[in-house]
Amino acid sequence: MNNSTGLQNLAVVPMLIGLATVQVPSGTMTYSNQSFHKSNVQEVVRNIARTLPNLERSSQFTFNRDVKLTNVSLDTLLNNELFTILNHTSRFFSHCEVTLENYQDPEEDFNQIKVIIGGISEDQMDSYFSFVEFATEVASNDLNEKIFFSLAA
Amino acid sequence: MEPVSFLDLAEKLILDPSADESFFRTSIGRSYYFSFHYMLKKIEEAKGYSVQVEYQPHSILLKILRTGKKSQFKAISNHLTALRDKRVDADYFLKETIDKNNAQACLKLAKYIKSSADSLVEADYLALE
Repeated sequence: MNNSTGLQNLAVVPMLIGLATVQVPSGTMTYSNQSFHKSNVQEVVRNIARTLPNLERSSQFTFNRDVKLTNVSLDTLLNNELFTILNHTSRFFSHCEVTLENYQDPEEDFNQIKVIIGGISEDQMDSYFSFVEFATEVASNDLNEKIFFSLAA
Repeated sequence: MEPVSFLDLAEKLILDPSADESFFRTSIGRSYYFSFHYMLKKIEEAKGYSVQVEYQPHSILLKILRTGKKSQFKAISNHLTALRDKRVDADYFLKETIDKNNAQACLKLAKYIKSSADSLVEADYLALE
């Protein structure tokens, strides 16, 4: 009985490692697009959610082609607040483009995630303000210090 | 001097018929500094003492705002950071393109901060830590 269980465990472990290795080479995950459209957010979020549990806590998290979020707590990403926020963009905008960037605050020693909302028209500014109120409320205190929302240039 | 003078100047710079990119960059800076000083003034008026901001002033103000019980404080702190980010671009990165739309967006953020701050009552500011 014990041997059987052990063999089953041995069989499972390499499969999980293999999965992590394929999807997260060198402990990083990269998306080739610099920005993604609202319609793709759910898919991106799903992929991240599927892959992140296989990452070590100390791993770097690379979201965009050139961006590494080295000091962002994976705990804050894993607890789904950011995913919840991104998934709700469709509640506020008929169309938008979301880009995540690394941001080094000049006055802080940690990096922040800059969530850039683009592709919205001027008459959607009220929606943007409502979105930020929603997003900053959803974010925990810890995440609030490491994330901010900005309009695209 | 009242902080709102910065807001007025930010708007005048955008509306000036002779405005060029230097006007728009300067306007963005004024929108940020209006917002910073306006929030600081609101807190100081409610608390009755001066907040020490000689060192890392932006961070100090954000840390205070984040202790607010009302959700508006969190949104304001977010917009302050976004404005400061734009201000850094406007003042330090001359190769970046800054246009009237950028300045107008920052002015709207600053006006939103003002209206949001005005919607909060003295007790809300007193509850800040």
